[in-house]
Amino acid sequence: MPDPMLAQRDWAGVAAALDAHGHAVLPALLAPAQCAELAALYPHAHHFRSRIVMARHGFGRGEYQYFAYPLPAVLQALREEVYRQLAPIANRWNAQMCIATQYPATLAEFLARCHEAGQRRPTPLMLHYGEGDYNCLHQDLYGEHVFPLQMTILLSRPQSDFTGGEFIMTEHGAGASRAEAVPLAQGDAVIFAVNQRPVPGSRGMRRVALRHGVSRLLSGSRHAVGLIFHDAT
Amino acid sequence: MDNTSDIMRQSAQLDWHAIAAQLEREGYAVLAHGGACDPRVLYAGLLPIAARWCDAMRQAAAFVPASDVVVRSAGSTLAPGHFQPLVQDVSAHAFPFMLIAVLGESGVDFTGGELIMTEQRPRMQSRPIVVPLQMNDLAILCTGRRPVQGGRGIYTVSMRHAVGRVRTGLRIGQEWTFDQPAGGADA
Repeated sequence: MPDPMLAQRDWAGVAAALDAHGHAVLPALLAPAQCAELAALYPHAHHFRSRIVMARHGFGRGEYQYFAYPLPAVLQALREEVYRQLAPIANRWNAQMCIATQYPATLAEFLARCHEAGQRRPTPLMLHYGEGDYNCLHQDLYGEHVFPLQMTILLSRPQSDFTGGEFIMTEHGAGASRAEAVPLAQGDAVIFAVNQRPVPGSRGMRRVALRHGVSRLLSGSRHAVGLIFHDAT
Repeated sequence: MDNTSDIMRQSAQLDWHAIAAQLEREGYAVLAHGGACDPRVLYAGLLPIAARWCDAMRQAAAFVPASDVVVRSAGSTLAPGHFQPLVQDVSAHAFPFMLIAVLGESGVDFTGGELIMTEQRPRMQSRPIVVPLQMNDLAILCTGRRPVQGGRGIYTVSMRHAVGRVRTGLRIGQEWTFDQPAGGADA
């Protein structure tokens, strides 16, 4: 069921920001109480299918857990509705980058495609960082089928729950590389390119590659949820 | 700065042990209220660290004393939408440190415009860094390669720095680099 509140968001503004910068912020997507409820799930292992300690893999410092199906209702609803809004943007981007893949209108259809290809495991995750933790610049690719946009929601309050721990994106293309810190408040979501995005060049569209990460927490504790639309092998 | 002994006296007043430790951990060091420091004084203190790093990376480098270094100062004014790309200086005889200050208060005079670094590591993902630089502070940044003590000896990482897009206001910045005069030092 489409969420009417979510459908009324400024999706044209999201598309424009994604085209211009490779990321877009949806302010106050979750209320503070919803953020607290989600963060409180973290210690309860039965909500999750696996736990990753980043330092063991050279991913950084800190940890995250992949949710098990069924996802918490609020995340399932967001994953479906945000997918519905982003699929047209993903299709336009692929056309601009001369990538043949086109995405179906609903998450259920897209996940059926992933599951047929053996990508059956849920990718939505929750991350937890303590003081000194960070996440290296990376791309969340989990198999052949990739939906080119993803979303992260900050569950903690900057300055009061934690300091440092900024969401960083870098972009590498034919020209100069750039880096950006995306300012997020509690409950804000950032939608961003998983891998590549089209950028107008002097001879038509060219591709630039994006990566995202989190700078070191100087103090406190920071929870975030990542919603990735493709599932994993 | 009048003469070499003045430079050395002022340099000795800074806690170089702590500065070196932060540079070796993070690739940057922030001197709180360091904005008034003379760049030449800092260069004098950074010289032994630079020599040690070059040695650790088996890189031949000889840097001139503080009295002979060419201090280049450059200002920048970034308006909303402006940014500075990721850059580094890995040329063979480049001094491995530079200084950066911001002449305004983040969150008041401007938003965005963070001082961002990336640390590229061999066979690992890069680490993103935000330098917590505030008005009146002075940041010492590693401009390129630096040695890191790993479990199995020393390896080299590659640092870059950038200024993120300014969202509102004007971000006025200043930076200082240390050019080695042609011919370099007599090693």
